Amino acid sequence: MLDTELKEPISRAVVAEVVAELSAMLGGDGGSLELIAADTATGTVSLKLSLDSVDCADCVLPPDRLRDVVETRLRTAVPALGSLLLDDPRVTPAATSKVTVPHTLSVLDPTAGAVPGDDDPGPDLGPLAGKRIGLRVDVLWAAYDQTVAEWIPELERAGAIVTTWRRAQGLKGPEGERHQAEYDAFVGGVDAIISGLANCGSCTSWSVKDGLNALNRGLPTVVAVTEHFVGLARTLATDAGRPGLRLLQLDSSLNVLPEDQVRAAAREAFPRLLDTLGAVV
Amino acid sequence: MAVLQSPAVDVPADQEDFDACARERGWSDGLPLIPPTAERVEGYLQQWGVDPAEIIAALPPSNAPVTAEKLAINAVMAGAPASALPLLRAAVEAVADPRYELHALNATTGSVTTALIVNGEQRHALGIPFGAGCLGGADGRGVAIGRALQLVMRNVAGQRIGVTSQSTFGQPARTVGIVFGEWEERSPWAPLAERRGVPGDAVTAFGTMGTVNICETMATDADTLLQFIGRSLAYHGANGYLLQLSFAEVVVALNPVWAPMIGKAYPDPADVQQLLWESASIPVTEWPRQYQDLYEQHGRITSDGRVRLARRPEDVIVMFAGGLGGLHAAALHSWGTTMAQTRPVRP
Repeated sequence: MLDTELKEPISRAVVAEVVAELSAMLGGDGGSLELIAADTATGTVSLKLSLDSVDCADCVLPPDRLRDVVETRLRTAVPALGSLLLDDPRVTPAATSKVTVPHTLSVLDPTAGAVPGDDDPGPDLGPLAGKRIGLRVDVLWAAYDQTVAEWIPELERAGAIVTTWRRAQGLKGPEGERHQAEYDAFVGGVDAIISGLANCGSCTSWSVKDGLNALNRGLPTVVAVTEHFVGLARTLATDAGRPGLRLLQLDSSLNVLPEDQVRAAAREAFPRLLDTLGAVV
Repeated sequence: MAVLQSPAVDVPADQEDFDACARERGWSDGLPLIPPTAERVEGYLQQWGVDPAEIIAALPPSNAPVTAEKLAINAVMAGAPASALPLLRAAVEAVADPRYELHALNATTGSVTTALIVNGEQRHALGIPFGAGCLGGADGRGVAIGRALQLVMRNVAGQRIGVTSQSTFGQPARTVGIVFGEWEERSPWAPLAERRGVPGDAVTAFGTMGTVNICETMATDADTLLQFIGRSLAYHGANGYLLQLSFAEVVVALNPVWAPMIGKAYPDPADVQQLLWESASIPVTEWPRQYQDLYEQHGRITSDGRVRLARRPEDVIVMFAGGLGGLHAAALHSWGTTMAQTRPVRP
């Protein structure tokens, strides 16, 4: 209990009962725990560990674990417990320690890496004529709508059939399931996917996720990414096991440019889009 | 005890050198770490009594599994007690729920991090703060427990700052988390987790942009007080006002001094949620024209010409916590699209 206003004075009798119980537990290995003091005003409890009757010192709980066990049990029984002072003869004050500190110690690696992935970027689209191109857009970036608006007539002029689908982030429950089913059906009805725009952290994650949906079904797939988020997109694809995902890099300042400049940049990027997709006009 | 699977790594024994080594290896949050020796980790797992190989969940973006062993290693490093491992396991389970959208949370430019709201008797046993300074400054184990979850995000889920995480500013709780309890003993309502369907020891994970203080010193009735707090929740730059996000929540922590007044007027917390939801709004005319048009298109404008912060009353999550000095409420705005998740804490 951390708030002083709620603290009840601790009961020495309850503390003594818990200490006796803990001491009995340690007694199995020959140790014992003694209650030195229980300050009912401050909640401070002082205990002393005795190892006088211990044959096997290593059999007694190590100091840090012992402290955890004692403190957890005491706090459960005595919620108003303040400080716990535990005199453990095995713990030598650092200032007087004569123990030689080893130069190295062995620790366990706290990390867990992603599994190695498949670097196949997926198939090239090939001839564009007659192909159904799915443009996955979002609700975030007006500049991407303008970009796509420039690409669509170019794709259609090359004989492609273009459809678009808009991702809304964060839909939950039945509405979210319907939205996802809609996207799954969209991917199932096209020959290639262009997913965007990866222009922030979460929308990069979503653009990549939706792109991988298509790539993992064997579709030619490109994710449109602004410059700053290319590294994130590549890392996310790698973590998801598809480091080869095709990325089309766009200007980082896309969303703050005037519309005419955005459209000009889209026209400039179009040949690179076809190249990245492996499309032939 | 099953054999531990994590590779052993030789590191400098000197604390400062070890911390430098941990930073180089990407294990570190910048604060000193407790070396996770096999003895320490085994001790934690023995106390917990769980198979080290138990997979709790796979977390994005790495999608690597968080095993009991990895959780224990990171808890040791953070200085969290072994007795907190059941709580941490429940927290990992909560953030792994797809509705929490951890893949987006871990990548976003936003400052969002996971706050853990703790219910049940475990608050006392673990030393989870719920009184004065509970959101920061109180001693106890909350900070270390929060830090352990953040280290799991970094070391197992693969949240790498500037790489997988694009958070523009971040926030202090991205290091030590926000772990606090509900002051159930002073709340006029059932505990938050119980209201969310999980009685007893439980944890609610909530993706929050940070904490906002709301000071009110004049109100002498619940309606005036709650309307003031509700209005204070709404500000133009809150993520709840992002048109592109289809969902947002906000946690409102009311101080326990207000509990008798609010509880008497509103025995049902749903009525307080409704009142706060209605009050948390801004006149649409306060936005630039392009926003006004979009709010109109999205049907976000109410009949009285205002735009609400949250879409539904139930998205305003209310609870009691904080010190007996009173005078303040705390708001934790969500990032948006991360739906709070509550899980039971089992041994």
